[in-house]
Amino acid sequence: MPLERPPGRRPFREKFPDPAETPAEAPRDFSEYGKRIAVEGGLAARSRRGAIGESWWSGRFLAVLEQLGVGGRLTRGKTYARAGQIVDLAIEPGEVVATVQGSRAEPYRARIGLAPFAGEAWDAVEEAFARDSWYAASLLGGTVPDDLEDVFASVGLSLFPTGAREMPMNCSCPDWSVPCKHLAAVAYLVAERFDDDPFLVLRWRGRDRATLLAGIRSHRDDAEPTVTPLADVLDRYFDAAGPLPETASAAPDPGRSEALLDEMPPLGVPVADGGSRVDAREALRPLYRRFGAPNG
Amino acid sequence: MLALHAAWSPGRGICLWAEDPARGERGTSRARGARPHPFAADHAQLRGVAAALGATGAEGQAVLHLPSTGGPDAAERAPVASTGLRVSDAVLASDASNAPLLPEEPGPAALAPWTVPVLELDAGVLLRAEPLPGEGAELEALRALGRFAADLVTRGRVLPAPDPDHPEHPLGWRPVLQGRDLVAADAFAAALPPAVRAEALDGRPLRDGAGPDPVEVVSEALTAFVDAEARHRLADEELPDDLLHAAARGALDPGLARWDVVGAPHAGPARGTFRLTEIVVDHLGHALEGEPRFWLEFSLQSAQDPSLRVTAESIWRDAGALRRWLDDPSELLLAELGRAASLYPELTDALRVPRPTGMELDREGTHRFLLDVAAGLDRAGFGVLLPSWWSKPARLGLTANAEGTATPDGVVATPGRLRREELVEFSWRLAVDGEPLSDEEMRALVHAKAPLVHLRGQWVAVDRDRLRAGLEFLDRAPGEATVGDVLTLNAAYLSSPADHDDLPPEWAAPLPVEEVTAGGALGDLLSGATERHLALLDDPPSLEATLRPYQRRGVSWLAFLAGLRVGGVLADDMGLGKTLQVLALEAHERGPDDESAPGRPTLLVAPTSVVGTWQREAARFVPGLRVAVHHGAGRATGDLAALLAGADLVVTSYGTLTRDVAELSRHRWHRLVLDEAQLVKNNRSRAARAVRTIDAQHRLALTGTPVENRLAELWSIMDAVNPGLLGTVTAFRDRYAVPIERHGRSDVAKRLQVAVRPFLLRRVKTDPTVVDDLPEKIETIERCPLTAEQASLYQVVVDEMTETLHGLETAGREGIERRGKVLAALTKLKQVCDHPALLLHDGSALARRSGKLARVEEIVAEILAAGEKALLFTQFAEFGEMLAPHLAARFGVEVAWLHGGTSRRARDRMIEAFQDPSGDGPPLFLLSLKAGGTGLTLTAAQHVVHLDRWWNPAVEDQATDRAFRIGQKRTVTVRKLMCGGTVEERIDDLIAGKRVLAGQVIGSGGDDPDWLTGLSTDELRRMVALDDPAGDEPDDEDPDDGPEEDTGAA
Repeated sequence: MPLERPPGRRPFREKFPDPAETPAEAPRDFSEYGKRIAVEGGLAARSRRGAIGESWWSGRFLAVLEQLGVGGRLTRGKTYARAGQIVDLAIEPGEVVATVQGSRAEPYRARIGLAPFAGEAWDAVEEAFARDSWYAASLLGGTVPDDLEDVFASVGLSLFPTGAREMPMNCSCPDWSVPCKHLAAVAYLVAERFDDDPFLVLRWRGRDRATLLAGIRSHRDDAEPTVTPLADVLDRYFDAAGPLPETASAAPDPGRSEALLDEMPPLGVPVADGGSRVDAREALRPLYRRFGAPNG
Repeated sequence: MLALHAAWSPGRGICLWAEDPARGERGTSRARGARPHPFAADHAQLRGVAAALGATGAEGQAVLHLPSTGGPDAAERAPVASTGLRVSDAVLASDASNAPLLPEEPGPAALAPWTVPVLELDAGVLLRAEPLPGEGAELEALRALGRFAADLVTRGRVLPAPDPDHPEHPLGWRPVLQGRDLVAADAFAAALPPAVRAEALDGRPLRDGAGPDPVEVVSEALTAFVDAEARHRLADEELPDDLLHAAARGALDPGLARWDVVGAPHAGPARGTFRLTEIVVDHLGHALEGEPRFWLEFSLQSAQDPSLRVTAESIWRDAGALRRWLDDPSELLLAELGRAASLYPELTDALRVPRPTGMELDREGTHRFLLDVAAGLDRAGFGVLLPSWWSKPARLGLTANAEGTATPDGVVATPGRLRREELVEFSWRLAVDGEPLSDEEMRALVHAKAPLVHLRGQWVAVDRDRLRAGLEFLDRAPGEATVGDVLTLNAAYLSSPADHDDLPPEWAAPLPVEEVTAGGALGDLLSGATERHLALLDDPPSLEATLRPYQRRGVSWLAFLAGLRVGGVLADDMGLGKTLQVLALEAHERGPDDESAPGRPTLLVAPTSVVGTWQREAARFVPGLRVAVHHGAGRATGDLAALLAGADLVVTSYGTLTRDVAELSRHRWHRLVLDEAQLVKNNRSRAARAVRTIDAQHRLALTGTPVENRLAELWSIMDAVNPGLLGTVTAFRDRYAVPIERHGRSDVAKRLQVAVRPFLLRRVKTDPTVVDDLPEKIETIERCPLTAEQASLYQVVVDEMTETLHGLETAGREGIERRGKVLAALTKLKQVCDHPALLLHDGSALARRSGKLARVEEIVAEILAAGEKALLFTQFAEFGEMLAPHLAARFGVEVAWLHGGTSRRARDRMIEAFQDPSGDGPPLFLLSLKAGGTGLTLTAAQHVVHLDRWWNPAVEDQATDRAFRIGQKRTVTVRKLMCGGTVEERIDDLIAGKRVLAGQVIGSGGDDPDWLTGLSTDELRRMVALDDPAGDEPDDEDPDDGPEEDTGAA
């Protein structure tokens, strides 16, 4: 579920001059130009110290960033992520979009793109998932199975970006470095989201959880229909297909027969002769009593 | 007869059709599409069926897909008759004219559409009409579904479903399926005969041969049944008009939509659950052979109703129905399996299929699952259902068996035949849960590929290392042993064999020894059956009493142990005659003709208070037994050789033993008998240490308290009679006392019982084997000692009396005055016997000044320990006045005290409290003989103690009868206390021993001993003179005087 927050509800403080307005020599790190503005209720990384991202799959994603060799910005991005500078964040098919509060009054817009897979490719993946429940079971159980990449590889795709080139990043901040600390903060937060919900990795690649599961179901049913075809049971066509369940006959019990009715919310029924209403539950109660005493 | 069928038609409901064996003509129509079924019953026949069901129905046609023969040419096809028809065909076969032209048996090749005449039956018909002959499985399934629907209605699991299309009956009903009802509906779908969903919808050919979804068919049919049944039950009810109007107008729909949310199918949250079962048949139903295999079944289990469990198989089969129960049941199942896979990686392979339902495990895998995985899954919140044999894991242990004893099986053992040094064949076996394994079973265990073995119809998990250790032990364990070793081993097993110095080191078993068995007499001894199986000894000729049967068994048991030189504990309930049994044993061994008679005396140690009783009972029951009392101030000192040479039985007290231990332990004794052995429970007391130094061939302990429940006492007593047998006290505490007393381990208590039962004989008065032998009343007379203070006071009174009487004689003043003086003196003497304070009237402290009181305290302690109640009678109200608070304080119990001054109301309250069946009332009831001796009913008491003797036994008996009367269901034990060597004993001798004289002298029957006052002064003096003027030395040492040890025992 993407987090959406109406921009108007954020308290902004204008306290510092905009460092971008000052002509500057490149390369510059804008962090020294101003203090970040605190965000009330901002999205903060869970991790308080050390690395962010606990799982191997979020690690794979962060590794791409770390290849870029912008260590200082990554460190500051981590600090940003922990400080809760990210106002909102959404992982959508093809892109991660986020709003990051920097030192300017107006928060920056950050985006990390990733090419979504085509529908046919996903279809093939879903079919593979339907044949082998292990993948769905793992994902549903909260982990990305370590052989998941093999499934994508088998259709000629790579689940994780192989390099930063596959991940176009941009930010509305004046820092020309990519990633800037805002993008880095977003990336760290995304890594934690991946830890929590491995389906988001796939969502970024273009398939949300519900669609994926529905696709798996439909492929599974194609592979093996759930309804036993009549044509398959010609030799026992007129026989019971299994043991009939034992349904013990309940002893009549008037009190018990009203239990379900008692759970129901009030339901007004207009009375024919005027504007008043009666509660359907009370009107029905004698009937339920009668159900409970079939012989009485 | 018609074979009756039914198909469910969406919109039309139950469509009844039938096969008619009498029809044989084939259709000739070459029409495209469905041809008429060649042997389907026509409408007229179906109307007949409906009439038999008491119903009518709309006539129509239906196109059904039915199994058919033949090839692609439609004209060549023919429907295959149902099994039901073939059965009726066989019935009709004898009728040649009706011979059916049914197709031969080529078997169905494909489905083909056929038009059949049908009758649309109302669902209510199947709910109420009895089944007809010829009904097929489809009708049976529909009827079962109808019963399920009726049950839902009865339980009120229905909601209104407005039916505006039928304005005259606008209030319809639908089922609410929640929890197990939903699962039942799902099971109906799984069981539905295919023919029920045979209708070709809109006459279209079957796509992929699938047919309608059984879940939908069941759902529709169930709704139809519920609606029919609910309406039927309301047929006589007046339905509320407002509700009907609203239903007809659709005005209820918005409100009912909210009801539908509440009534939506659900069973609450669910969790993944793993159930392990053994696969006993393959998928074709053949019994499996060879390596066993197990099936780990995946399922979801309702968190709210754990009995509601849905297997993965049915989840995959019918996610549709369950999807209403759970959000995405199949995804939930997969999520749970995925989560579990992180704990149980082997699960991964089982998930690599489209629809995982479970995984097969071999023996090794099953063992690992049980041992390493199941608990982890359980901790992680998964359900784990394991076979019952696993939840109660099998124990691997050893059993030992001794054979070849002198007495073969079936021959009754004779006391003295089994010898301690005798060698017996001895063999060890591995045992599972205490059951020894056969050679074949042991081989199976050794050769099993995994430590999971099928033994005696159950699976047994065995620890490899322990198995190896056990097998190695079997190789090196010795093959023979002496009887004594076997007894030691039996007692030592489970207490660590390492604690036992006297156990051969090669017997240090690496596994718990579960059981030691033996044949013959040794086996009886080990199983505690000796007392029942032993050949009984004849009553010794020198015994002046007839033993009761249980006493004869007891004496034989004691003799048997003596022959084995094994110590024993005789722990019979008080009143069963332990003293007599020991005396009979001595009489048996010391018979005049017996060459094997022991040349040495037996040392009997008893509390001071019963030393006199032993002496007296011995003299009474075995007059030929030479008894020497080594006790009191006048006892022999220095070398006791002379005393021992002339005695068969030397009676001493614990106090004297402690003091004279150096001399007493210098001699070798035939036997050591410890009476009231529970008093020596502190094994570090001087008395206990002294007992250990006594050198005796045989040791016995007597106790009346249930020692098996008092573990510290049990160890002390067992160790006193069989030193070292139960190991050290520390080991015993760790192994038995702590687990039993602190943790309530009944299994450990059982083992302890097995360990001690060869050496312990305890009969209680309620034992069926005892109770028949018991008289309703057991009377004993106990002979108490006088303390030195009592003896000197007694002597003073005697001297005074003599002097006074001589004075009167001299003065010639006899008659009434003399009589008064005599009576006063006798009263004083009896008061001294009770307690010095009673004579002195000085209100001084009571403790340790009266031999009788000491004995009373012992008796009371025993009675209270047994949870029983007692009456105590005294003729001295003043004594009662002193005793009641003393006993109450000494034992911390309530003591009722009834005397002449007690008001009637107070008396009634006391009696009511004492008789209170809840047992909460006072356990002790002290009564003055005059006030309480008649009229009352006090049957809650099982014990009567007469604290002092009355001249006339009839008065005592009348008092005794307060407890011994109608309403008394148990044996009453009566104890009469008297002081040895005093006037009390003389009177007792007169009453008991010299009946004739007593009859003469007491003949008047009055309360006053006229005959006594009539005696001359010399006669009187002889009558009251003290035998042993020194009295008893004060018992300055409690047998149990050592530092208290915290053994955890109460």
